Amino acid sequence: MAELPLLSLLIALPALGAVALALLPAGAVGAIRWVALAAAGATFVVAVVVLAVFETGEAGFQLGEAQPWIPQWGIAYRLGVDGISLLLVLLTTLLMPLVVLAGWNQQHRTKGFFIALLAMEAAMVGVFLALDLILFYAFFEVMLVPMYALIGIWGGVARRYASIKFFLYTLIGGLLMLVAILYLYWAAGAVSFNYATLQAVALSETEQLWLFAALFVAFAVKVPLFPLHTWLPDAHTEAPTVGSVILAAVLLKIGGYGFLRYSLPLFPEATATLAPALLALGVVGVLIAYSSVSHLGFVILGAFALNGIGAAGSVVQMVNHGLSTGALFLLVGFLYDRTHSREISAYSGLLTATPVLGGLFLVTVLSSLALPGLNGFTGEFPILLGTFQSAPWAAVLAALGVVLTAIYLLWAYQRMFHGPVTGHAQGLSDLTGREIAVIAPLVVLMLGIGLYPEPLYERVNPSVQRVIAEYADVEAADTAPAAPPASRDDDTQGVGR
Amino acid sequence: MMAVSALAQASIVTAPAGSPAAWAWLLPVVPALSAGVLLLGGRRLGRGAGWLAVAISAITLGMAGWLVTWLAARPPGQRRVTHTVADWISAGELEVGWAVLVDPLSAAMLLLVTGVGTLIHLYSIGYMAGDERFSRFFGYLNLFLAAMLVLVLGESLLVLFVGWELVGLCSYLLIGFWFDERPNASAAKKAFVVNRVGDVGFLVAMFVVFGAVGSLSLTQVLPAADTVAGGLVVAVGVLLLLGATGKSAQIPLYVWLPDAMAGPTPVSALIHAATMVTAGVYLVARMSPWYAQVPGVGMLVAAIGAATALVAALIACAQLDLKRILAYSTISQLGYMFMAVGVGAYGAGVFHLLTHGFFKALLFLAAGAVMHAMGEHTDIRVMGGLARAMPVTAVTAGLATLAIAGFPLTAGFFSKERILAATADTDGGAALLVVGLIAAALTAFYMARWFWLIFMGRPRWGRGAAPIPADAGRSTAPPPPRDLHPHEAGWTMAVPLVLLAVGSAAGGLLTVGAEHGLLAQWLAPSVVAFESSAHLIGHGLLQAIAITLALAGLAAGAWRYRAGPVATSPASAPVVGFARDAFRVDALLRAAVVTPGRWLAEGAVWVDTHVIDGAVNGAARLTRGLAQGGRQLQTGLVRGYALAVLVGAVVVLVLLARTNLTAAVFGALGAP
Repeated sequence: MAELPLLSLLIALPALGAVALALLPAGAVGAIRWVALAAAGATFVVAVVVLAVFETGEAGFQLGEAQPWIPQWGIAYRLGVDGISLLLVLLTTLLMPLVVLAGWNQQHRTKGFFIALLAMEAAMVGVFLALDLILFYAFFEVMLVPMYALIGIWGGVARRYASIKFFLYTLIGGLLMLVAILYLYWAAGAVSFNYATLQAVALSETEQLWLFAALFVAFAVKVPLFPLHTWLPDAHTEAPTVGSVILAAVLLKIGGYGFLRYSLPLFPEATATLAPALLALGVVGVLIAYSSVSHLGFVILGAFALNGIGAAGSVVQMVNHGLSTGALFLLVGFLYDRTHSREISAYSGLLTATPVLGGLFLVTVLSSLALPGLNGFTGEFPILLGTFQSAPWAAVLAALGVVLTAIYLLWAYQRMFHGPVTGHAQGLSDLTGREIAVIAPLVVLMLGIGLYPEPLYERVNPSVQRVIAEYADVEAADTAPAAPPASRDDDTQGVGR
Repeated sequence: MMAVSALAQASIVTAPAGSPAAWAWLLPVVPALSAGVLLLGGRRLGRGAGWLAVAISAITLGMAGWLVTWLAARPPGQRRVTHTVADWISAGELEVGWAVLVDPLSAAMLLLVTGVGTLIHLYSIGYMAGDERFSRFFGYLNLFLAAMLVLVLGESLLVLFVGWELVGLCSYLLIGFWFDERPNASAAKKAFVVNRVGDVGFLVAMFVVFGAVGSLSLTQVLPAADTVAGGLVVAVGVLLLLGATGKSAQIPLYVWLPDAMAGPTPVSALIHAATMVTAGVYLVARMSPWYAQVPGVGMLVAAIGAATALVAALIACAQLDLKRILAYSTISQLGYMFMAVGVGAYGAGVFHLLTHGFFKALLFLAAGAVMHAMGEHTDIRVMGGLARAMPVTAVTAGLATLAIAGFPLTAGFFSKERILAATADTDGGAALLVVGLIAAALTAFYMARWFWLIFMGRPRWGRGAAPIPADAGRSTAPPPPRDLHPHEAGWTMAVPLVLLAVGSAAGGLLTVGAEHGLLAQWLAPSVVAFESSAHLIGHGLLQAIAITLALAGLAAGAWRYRAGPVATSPASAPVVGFARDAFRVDALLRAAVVTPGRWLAEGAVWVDTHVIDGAVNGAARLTRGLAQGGRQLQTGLVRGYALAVLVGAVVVLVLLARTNLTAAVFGALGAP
């Protein structure tokens, strides 16, 4: 089993699928769909195999692969998976077949559409698995192209503005990241872009701060963090349904993943210095911005709480947000397919008219507002708890977000699904079997993770502990005289007064 | 300061394998599975859906009975047992399991929830017959039962919180059960959101507890109370109180409960009277070791309870809707329970919780029967004389009215008297006692008004219909039809009424026996009672005063409304109108919270689109502007370029010459 390059297969299958599609005639719509579904489905099967051979309890990278790529510059094709990337890869590969199914009836430029989807999948999986920083950067930038196409070609009326805004934001972040990576490379003696090598580089605090800032833009745009978030609503409004699903469910996770994988381990001192500012940005996101920005604000809080509870919670929150927001966008997409309207005020009484859609929508909304018993809570609660232990003010403010989320989600649900059946709801057909098949796995996972998130946590905990412990060592060396537990007590008492 | 002696709680032990406590986790699981079946495929079962739900509820009652019998057979010191079923969340140092805590306190709640729950399930078969979403209703009811059992059995604050939130969800679903009407859906949303405000308090309390104790498991948290710094205990006490005021509809978060009457009446009886709304009382009792450390916070709990009891009773006196009167009454009675647990009289508080569960559930079920008979009409001014048509309902409701009013020897008499006596035995409890007595008199008055206008006097419907007195009443519903023939409902609705009437009448038996009554003795291993040396007034005298006030209130209410509704005199109209509008608290909230909140949201959108995106698009425009300018220069004429190069060179040279940089620059060039 170990001989099979499983991780490479995860990237190669969708990439080969895209190539195969390119060879098919554009008119063979049926074949195109089935090949796309087969490629995405096979990738998911491989991901499940990876899950099966993954050693739970191991903190480090597993199933490693390494091939020289551009040896004279120390660039290698280097892959590995740990608990953090495992979950995100599973999320990605689970969603892609569903996304293909959701876009099944795509009429306009069908071939290019599915090629973009599979290319997207290969690049996203690559981002999560890469352990060479140039390889990571390459996948990071490659991702841009199919997404730009998805919004720019298959998007709505203002798709050009939205796609260019998305492209520029991400590109600028990416370029700054490249500069930082190159700096690290030179600082390490220009021998390798290997993640482990670069992590061992000793940097002054000033260097760390600058490099952190450079990576920060790249990841903060992706999360997105306030105030770099305004490209997201435009992108979501204009993107086709599947584009929104990929964007919200996977792409945004790359920011959180980047912080946990790169910013925290590479620049621990800068992280410690900047954590309060990051927490503040996270809180602002939680409180004022759009639903996804708010949910991912929690991810930032958990990561920069700089303890095991918060960081593990933030990885689980990424998975949970992928499931619930993915489902929300899919459901809205099904509705849009029928009525071509996304205005909340255009709907009333949908729960009566389309009870299956209404019921599934409600479960998804409840998951999104972190109702205990569903998945959202199992990530948000540890995040808030962990944040409170290091920055009580941030946790208390973010906890208010719990109320706001309930207000806007229930408001929207009530407007659309309750009340008399009028307008678009009249004569609307309920979900088809294909549509239910797309949503059902997500809803089952929402319930399953809500009741029993242990399979996630037991894989994430060791890897996250490694990140946090490396960090905590530096911290302890840095602030040796001050006993951490005492200061923590002071913090909590501050809230008590 | 109150003299506190923290009586040690019994320690918590692991349930013996194979014992009923090791199976207690099935209590919530069984109705949860049934709810799943009913919600996914209940339509196919037809009326059987209702009977399945009733059977499941009865099974949980049987299981609870088995469990409590087993518990009672153990020595008092070993009546607190836990059982862990599985891990739930293990994030870093946070470890929470799916675990149950069975002890005398949870046992008392178990019997109430499954007992009253089963009766109301049965009642609903008749009440909801013919509703197009019949099976969904029973799915929700079973789900509620499961959630409430999670709340009661949870061994950690977090699992308790799961139940706490899920009962809130069921409340939301059932208040908005007839969601085709927008007001019902709005009431549901209001209930959920207001409760979430309280939940923030609960959440932050858990963060503080975890920071101080390192665990959320009650097995660890409860005994740790006296090792935690005082300031933190105060914080936890106040924060949990905030959560409790939400769920139990106390000041300042009571505003959702009157609107919650939009739900079907069995829901009002089960969730919004007998069980869910008592969760706040349960929470305070559950955390008694922490409250025992900080009697000042306990007094805050009691003061909020007393204020709520009085305010809600005043509002209830002026309401016209038969369910809203009961809703304010519930708020008021929950206030009594808060008074009790606030002064550390957990036995009295839980006793009133149980008796109230009987008589208030009964009152609501009777109200439901009346509404059915009156064609869903709810204005008590157009009722009257229904006792003749509905004798069973009238007699049982009459018993419940006497019980809630504190008529001697009814259940409510004993439980309310215990609470008043407890405040009388508390240092600084005089104000609580006086408020409690006033509210007791008001309770008797408004319940007599309720009963009299509905069941007694002459019919004011059908052929007896007369214009409604022109006082400050807005009647929203049309008058009942003229050809109304009210009659008793079927046996499924009558049996619960009768059984609850028995409980309302005989519930006082729980108080016989030991010093503070059987129930207090039973609860002793679960709670840490305060002891106080105060004795403001002799108990005999207090009892005499309480009886006098109850009888006076009943008599006044019956006398004033003997001939039907009374027109408000011009002098008192503003006061009555104010009370009828519930002191205009909703309008105040709208002005003080909702509207500014909307402004804030709109402001945030403005900042997003104008400031942030303004900067982004501005940068784009600036770039384009610069590019436009730059393009002008690119003329393609070589002469122009040559001129520009010349001018540039001259400028550079002049600059270099004028500053002393020349040497530096050339030096740098010369020495690479």
